[in-house]
Amino acid sequence: MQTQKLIILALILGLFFSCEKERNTYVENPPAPAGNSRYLMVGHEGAFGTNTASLSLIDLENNTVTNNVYQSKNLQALGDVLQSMTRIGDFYYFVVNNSNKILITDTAFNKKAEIKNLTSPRYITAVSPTKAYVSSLFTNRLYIIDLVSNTKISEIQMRTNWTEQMVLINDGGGDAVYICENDTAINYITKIDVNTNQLVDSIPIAGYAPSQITRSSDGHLWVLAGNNFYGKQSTLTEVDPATKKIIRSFTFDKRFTTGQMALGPNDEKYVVVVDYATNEYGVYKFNKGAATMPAAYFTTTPSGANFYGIAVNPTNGEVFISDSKGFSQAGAVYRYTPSGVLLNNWTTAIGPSSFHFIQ
Amino acid sequence: MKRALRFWFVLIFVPLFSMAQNADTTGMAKVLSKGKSEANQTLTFDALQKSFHLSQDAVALLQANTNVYVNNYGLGNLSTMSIRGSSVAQTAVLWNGLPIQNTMLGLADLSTIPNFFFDEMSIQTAGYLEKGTFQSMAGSLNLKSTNQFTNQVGGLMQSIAGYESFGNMVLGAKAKLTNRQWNADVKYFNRQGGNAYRFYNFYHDAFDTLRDAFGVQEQFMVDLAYRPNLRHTFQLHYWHLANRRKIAPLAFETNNTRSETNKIDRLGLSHEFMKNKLRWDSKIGLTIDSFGYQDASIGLQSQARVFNVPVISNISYYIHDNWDVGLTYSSQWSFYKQQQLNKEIFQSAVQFHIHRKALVWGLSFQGYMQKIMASIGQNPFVYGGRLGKELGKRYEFFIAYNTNYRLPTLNELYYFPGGNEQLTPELAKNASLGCDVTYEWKNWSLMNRSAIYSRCVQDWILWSGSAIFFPDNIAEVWSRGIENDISVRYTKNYWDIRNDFFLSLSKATSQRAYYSNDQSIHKQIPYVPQTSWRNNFFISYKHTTLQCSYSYTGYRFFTRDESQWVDPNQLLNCYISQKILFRNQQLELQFKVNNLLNERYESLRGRIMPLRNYAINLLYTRQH
Repeated sequence: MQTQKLIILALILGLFFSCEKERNTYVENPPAPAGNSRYLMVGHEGAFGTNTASLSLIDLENNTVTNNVYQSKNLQALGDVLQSMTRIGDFYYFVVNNSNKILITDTAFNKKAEIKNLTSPRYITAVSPTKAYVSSLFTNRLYIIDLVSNTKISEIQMRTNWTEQMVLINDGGGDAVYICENDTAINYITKIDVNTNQLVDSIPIAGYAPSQITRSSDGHLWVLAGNNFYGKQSTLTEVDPATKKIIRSFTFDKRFTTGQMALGPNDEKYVVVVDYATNEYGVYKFNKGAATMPAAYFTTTPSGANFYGIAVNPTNGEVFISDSKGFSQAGAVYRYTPSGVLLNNWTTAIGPSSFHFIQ
Repeated sequence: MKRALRFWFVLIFVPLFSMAQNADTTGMAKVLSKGKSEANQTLTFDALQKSFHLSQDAVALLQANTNVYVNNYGLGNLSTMSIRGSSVAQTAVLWNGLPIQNTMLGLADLSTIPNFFFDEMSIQTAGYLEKGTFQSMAGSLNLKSTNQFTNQVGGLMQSIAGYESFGNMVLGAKAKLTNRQWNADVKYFNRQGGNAYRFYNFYHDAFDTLRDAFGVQEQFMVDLAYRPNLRHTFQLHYWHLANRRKIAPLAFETNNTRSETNKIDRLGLSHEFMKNKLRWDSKIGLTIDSFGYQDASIGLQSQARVFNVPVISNISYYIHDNWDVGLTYSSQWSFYKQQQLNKEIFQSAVQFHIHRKALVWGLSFQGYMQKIMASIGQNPFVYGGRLGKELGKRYEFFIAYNTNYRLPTLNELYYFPGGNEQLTPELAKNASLGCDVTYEWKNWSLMNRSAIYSRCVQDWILWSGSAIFFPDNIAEVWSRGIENDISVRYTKNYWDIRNDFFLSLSKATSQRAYYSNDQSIHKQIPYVPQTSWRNNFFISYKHTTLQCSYSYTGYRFFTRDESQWVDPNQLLNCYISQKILFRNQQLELQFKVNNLLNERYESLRGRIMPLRNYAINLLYTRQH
């Protein structure tokens, strides 16, 4: 038990800053659905150490849930702790953190390949038609994956033992990845030249320990950072990669630990927060152009719920928030209007945490 | 802390001043004997039950001879117990009356408790608060070294050697020396091996071999008792344990480089004083528990050290043969040091207890009231009572009720990251009703113990999580069930035939929850089987003994909504032993076949246990 706890506890903080719906900018990634998304794919971390990660599909029109989609298709378990899922081309990449692997399926969820021998992989981002980066917990390596052979071909040495989310952009100097190195001594995001695979630059942010990053329609980067336990207050920073300047930043109340961040179709940003002292969960919404912290929550949890994952439907702005329910039972997904009115909810599987919209 | 130590010194040394006084100690012994409490739903393992498990740890003994459910994290790996649907932290392990759970984790690893070391092992299942113990909401495992004071110098030497088909070896030796005033025991135990075995891996649908499971365990114990006269007995107990082991990968894991080291030093000092109708016994303990965890693949290394100082002092006064009252002071100081993190908890309690036989209508009564003071949480008042009634010599009925309280462990509160300082302590209400029947007829004897129990725990603490692994309160958990143990024995001439059957039906469900739309309401708590039974058949002729054990363990859910579970299993184990006696010496050879039916089963999710396996033991005893 103790041993499991030790691993788990080392994972805790980082995984709380869990994934957001991938908005990979790589040109060959499919564009956001033109019409309303018909399905919401929900990735479930499962209960740690029990191999119970799973995948569900919610039919948003008929309000039905199909659980264990991957297992049903492939007659095998997905693995232990599904950290993130990303569509690259015509394939889904499921990053299974505690199984140290990435599973690759076609869009019908049939398993096509598996990338092994990765240490605690976290997120995958395609940086060219044939190459992707995979961030990692517990190692100072950013893995380089060949998307044709689906194998690890190389590594990039990072400054810290924990890399988190990244985005691919063209900041005027060619394609580059900006990545979060989640360390309390780090108050910047790191730039990697995808052609040379070299760390080439960094952009300062307002806080320390960056973990989540996304790009708004104006090409600016939004970075969520913080580590309450080590006294690093949570911040949200907007930076312009072209000028490497901080445009604006928001500092969360000291009592809050920040969780996942999601970007809406109108460049609104949603951030999950929790006050562990009072077990108060909520979501802040930062509208485009907001200059100050929101005065109130976009929504708070229904009594006793544990908000965890969040995503915004890119076509209509509806917000989907998952309730982990302690990762020891089936969690739930709540659906809200862009104004914060709860529409409905579904009971899914253990530990819903990541989302992907499909038609 | 200082205050507690000072208090203990007063308690232990004041009685020394009365050493010079004389009294009729023979009369005292008689009173004490009669005043001894009735069995309080306590099962003491007898020699026959222990005999085939002497080379093993407490896990094997409990699994074979009780209704206790053992959470076994793999062969030679961490093992904990659940009594009547409790969590591990709600149970206590007492060593000569002192609690030895790691106060950081709230548990004692049963795989590090060698049966070879203890003269008396028993399990108490009622959750009735033992004098001076904390945290034992659901019962306790009691380990004792007994003292013998002999008129002439006497001694006993015993050694054991064992080999298991996984490549594991066991070596142990102990010596006892006694005279009128002294009893000294020295014990040594060493177990090591690869725990390497083939198993059927359901997750990969293929046979697999367990790897990276090598472990070495070395233990040393000293028990020293000095009785200058019949009034005073001083005891010193020391137990050193060093444990290194690799942690085998779970069946669905591809690779693993985890290992742990554990070094524990336990010291216990006690003084017992008896004069006329007064009995005063005091104990102080010190446990230093250092452990480290490594995962080479991720460069993770963690070290922690926990100190625990329990103090117990009890005064009982025997008003007459059938009635005694007493007062117990107990305290426990726990300190936890991990890298930059230092945390401590102190709790103390004063308990008034009473025991009276022949109250009215032949009823006996036991009761206690205890006020707990703690450095965190509230200062609750707990109480309990038990009424017993004997009908003839064959039947005894009882009804018991008590409340109990458990503080969160240091880990549950402060572990980084994940500890939850907002946890609320657990509060339990236990009720049980039962009947013991003993019946003897010619060469036959029968003993049946039945109990119906109900335990309601508010704010049950449960670790759960995915990447976030943290303890949380479940608003209310209700455990209830039926336990029945029946033992039938037939003895004639050189024959001794016996059958023990243990049945447990347990429902432990979440009744209220703090989560909205909680899916776990009225669902079984993880890793509590609803049904389990075991049957042990013994047959002995002269110096040859055969034992066959058959057990069934039902479904165990590992999620709170009963959506995922570990399948039931049935196991058949057969053992045979032959003793050779020669004057004051005895040599015993044992051969064991475990899992004779080759059952493919998991002890916990991902922990697949061995198929058929073998063990051989050699036990040598010499008595003077």
